[in-house]
Amino acid sequence: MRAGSSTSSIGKNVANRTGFRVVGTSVPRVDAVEKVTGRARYTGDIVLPGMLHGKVLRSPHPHARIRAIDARRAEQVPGVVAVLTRDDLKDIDPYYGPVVQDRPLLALDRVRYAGDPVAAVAAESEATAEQAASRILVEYEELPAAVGVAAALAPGAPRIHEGPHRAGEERLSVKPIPGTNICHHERLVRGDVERGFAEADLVVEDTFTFPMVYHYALEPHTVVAHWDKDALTVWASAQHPFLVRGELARIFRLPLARVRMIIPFVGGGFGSKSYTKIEPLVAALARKAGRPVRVAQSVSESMHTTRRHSVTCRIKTGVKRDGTLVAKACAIHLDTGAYADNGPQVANRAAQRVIGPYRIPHLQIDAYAVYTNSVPAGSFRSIGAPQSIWACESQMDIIAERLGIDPLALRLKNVLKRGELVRTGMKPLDGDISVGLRKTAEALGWRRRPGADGRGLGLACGFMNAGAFPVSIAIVRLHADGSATLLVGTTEIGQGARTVLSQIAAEELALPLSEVTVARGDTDAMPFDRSTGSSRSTTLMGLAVQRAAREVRDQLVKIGAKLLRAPTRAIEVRNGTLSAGRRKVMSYADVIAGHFGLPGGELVGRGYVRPPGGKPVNPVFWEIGIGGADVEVDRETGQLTIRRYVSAADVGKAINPRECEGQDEGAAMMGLGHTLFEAIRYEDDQIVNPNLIDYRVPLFTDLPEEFVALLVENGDGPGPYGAKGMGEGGIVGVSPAVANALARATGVRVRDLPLTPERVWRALRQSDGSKENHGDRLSSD
Amino acid sequence: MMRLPAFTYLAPPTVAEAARAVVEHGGEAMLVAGGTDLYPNMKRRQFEPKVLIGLGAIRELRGVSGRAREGLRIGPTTTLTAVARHPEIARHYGALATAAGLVSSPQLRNMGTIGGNVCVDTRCNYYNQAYEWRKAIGFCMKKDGDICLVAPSSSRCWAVSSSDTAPVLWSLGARVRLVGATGERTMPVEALYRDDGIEYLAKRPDEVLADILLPPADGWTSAYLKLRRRGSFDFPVLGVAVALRIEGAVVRDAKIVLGAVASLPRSAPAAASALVGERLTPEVITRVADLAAGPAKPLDNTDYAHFYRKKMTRVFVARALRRLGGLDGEGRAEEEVA
Repeated sequence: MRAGSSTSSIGKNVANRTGFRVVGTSVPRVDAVEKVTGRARYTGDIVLPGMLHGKVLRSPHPHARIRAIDARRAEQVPGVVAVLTRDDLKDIDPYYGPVVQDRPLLALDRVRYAGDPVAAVAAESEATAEQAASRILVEYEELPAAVGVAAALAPGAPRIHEGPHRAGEERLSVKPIPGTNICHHERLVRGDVERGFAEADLVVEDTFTFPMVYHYALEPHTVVAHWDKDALTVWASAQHPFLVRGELARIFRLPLARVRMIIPFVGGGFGSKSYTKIEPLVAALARKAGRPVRVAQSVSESMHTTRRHSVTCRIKTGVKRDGTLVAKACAIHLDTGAYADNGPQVANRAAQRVIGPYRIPHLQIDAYAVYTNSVPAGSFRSIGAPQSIWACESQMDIIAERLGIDPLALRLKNVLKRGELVRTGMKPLDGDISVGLRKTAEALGWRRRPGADGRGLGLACGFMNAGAFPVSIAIVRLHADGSATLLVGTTEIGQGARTVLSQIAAEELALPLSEVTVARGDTDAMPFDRSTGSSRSTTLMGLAVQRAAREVRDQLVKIGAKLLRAPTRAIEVRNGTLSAGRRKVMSYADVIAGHFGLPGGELVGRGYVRPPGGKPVNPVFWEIGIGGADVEVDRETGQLTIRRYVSAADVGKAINPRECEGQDEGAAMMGLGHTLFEAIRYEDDQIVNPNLIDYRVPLFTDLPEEFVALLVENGDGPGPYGAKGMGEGGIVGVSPAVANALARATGVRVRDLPLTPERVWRALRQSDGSKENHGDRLSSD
Repeated sequence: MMRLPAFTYLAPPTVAEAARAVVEHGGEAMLVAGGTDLYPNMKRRQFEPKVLIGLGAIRELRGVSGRAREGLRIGPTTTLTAVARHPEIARHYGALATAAGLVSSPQLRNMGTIGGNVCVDTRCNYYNQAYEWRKAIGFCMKKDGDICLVAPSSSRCWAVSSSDTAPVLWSLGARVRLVGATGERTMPVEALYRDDGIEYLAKRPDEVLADILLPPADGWTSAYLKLRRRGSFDFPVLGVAVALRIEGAVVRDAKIVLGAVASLPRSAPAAASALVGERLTPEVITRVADLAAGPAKPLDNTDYAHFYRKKMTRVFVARALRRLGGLDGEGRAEEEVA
């Protein structure tokens, strides 16, 4: 793959015009050397005195009542210190969950999926723990299981959860449908959808499916828990340490101040480490063992911990002959698995995101998060979006084809403009999608005739309400020698947050980047940050860092003015010094020493980001993702080769352009996984490919021959310097862009993912067959 | 995945001592070369040997010698990387270099050996799983159970031969020398395989693969095409090995051997003989490709449905023939990924 990337000319060189020093430049990652030399420490590297190793026993059954657990044989294994079962949870509140607290940290009365944790062993070695876990006797009474949404919604389907659960911390009003396995129903209505269909010249209806996929963060979930009397310290690969802290405090009935989350380097998250995963289980095991316990999951165990929702999306769209969209009705069913986790929010986002960035007067969108007896689904890079945009954007091309309109033109005709109302109560569109679409099409060579050489071009776009809840707090400490430390609760999950936040602080403090350090994540030291996800950190934590740094700079200037005997407005801040004219110059260190009267002391600045009046603007910003694919089809095998992939991200202002391109590239390549290769397959109620040999993520050999990253920079984001978040948008357009390219190359439309050669080959064959029998394919539908 | 179970590792310095060690430890011992397949399988408890007899220290088993004019001798513990890069092999036995270079990933080819690939365990979706998984779903007859989960009424195991180099070696007319505790024998490579997913090798446990012998290469050209989901790492779900001796433009001799369509490599003799005396015209290629697909009997126990793999056999044989006949104007890559 050629890393042929370029930066769009829109708003280009804002940096130069406004004289940034560090912001807007592609400085190397601040942690690059640590990582490539292996010095970076991850949770799995933590070794504590007396630390034990934990192993979890998981249910072999998809749905069963637990009659009895006999742990004696495990306890007798030499080296075993503790076996944790449901009997040990009686003095704590074992339930957790971000939206509904429906998940016990160990199965209590029954197991709800093959892989559900049933017991855990802490032992002197991992091998001993594993051996002992296999000796625990569990007596199950098997119950009818419902794997898959169809089974879970069938009449007489087993109920996977009884009764209402407490709400979690997320502010989403959950609407279960009583008497069913539907744990949340999200409905969006605008206008009168039936009237809209009546007014339409053409109504198309399609059903699309999207597979279950796994995040495959290189580092599986890893947690070390340590109790010191009644204070709990947890090292974890967690994206949202403050939310995990809250859950742990509630479960173990501790004040927040006695729960400390320490987040070393994290080997990738992608949503798999959002919210609380195995932290309560490991903490409970350590509590019973009376010693620190480390649990490092295998890939297979992590595949049995969380995944992305598989989705069936029925989508019906009414359109005028000239391409004007008038009505859309959707029924989206999301397989949320055995526990809700983030599922209701994923359903909420899927419902919003299936509409697409288009003006549609009449809407009725229903999204259902459905409990099933499979691995719980949760957050995954741009929740609900790749699934719903796959349906929306594939169908846009179907409509274009039926109406004989160019797919780009159809999109441009309907796309929302900057400042246009998206939906009542939401922030108007804050970006320019049509420009990004045009640029992407241009970079693809859109005007080339499609299909002639077995090649086709496809486009897709999506926009996502991003940023999650806007609360982030930062502290900047300017030390006695003039260097600075940032205290931020943002988790570095490989996205480059430490680098970008350092750049912002260096810019504001007029320091070289080498003088700025981001402290390690630790909830005892860091002020609160709501979460790391939803493309929010550059925008929200970036703003908090900017404010905190400015507060420090203001203090510095005030003190410096006094010491230099000059008015504050005469003070210039440059490269670690204050000056008032050529003769009056002081280093930051001199200023601080002068202020405190000794070579010591420090200045502290705080930056708060919170919604004005406590009511958040929804969304923080609109994240725009646009993709374009140039695809070659091998008609004999069904093999697709992506000759070029173009991804456009509207970043407002690129604090670090190379990191932005890297994020976009990473997101698009991840999208390539579910587009061409990946699917978790269930057979006999078990995952049949729970390993990296049979679960196939794309490899170097599978990447597009050429990748183009376009960064749209209009300085129009709510973050520092007009930045807005990115890193998720790149994933949403891949599947529809590739499928649209396939359709334009061959006339064959595939509505299921992944687009494996076998699936494409079958579709081509079917189409050849139906052409022979029925003549023109298009006239038959 | 579980941890590697405890075992004793022996490193005999000669083949004879290795063979004697196997006899001494009886059913508890296994031979190991690169270990890239065996060790992960041991972690999943597909194998539970108490003793491993490593072949890595036996100098006579490593390296390539001879000339293509007289035939080559390949030591079985020669790494796949070394085979793929060997100039004499690449020039005169092209399909073998291709096949060796398509096994797994660069790291595993640096450790994995050609002998290991020739003897590699058969594979099946229901067998190549972690112990706990197999236990949950009910063990199969290949390990710990007594039925076949692919074909429940079957009395035999249908696990799939998954070697890339085996079909190529067969198509090239290779022979193997086996050295056992009580003697040695040399035989055609195809005689090494049995049509059984469990007892897939016709080699006694104490017999050590000592030599892979390639016949003189004169006049032969060869090609290997591999079907798998991704461009690297994956085992084949179809391998097509074709070797032709062409004089003028006429095929004088032909071998077509298919991999990963049964528990052993399958030759397609009817297709091969239909080539003899013919020029590689599009018509001939189509006819031969149809015949070649006949012996392919894949089942649904690997990636991709059997129907598709069978259909692709025809496509891949045709492509291999086109390439060898110089009809492939585009100069395609060595591999077909599908």
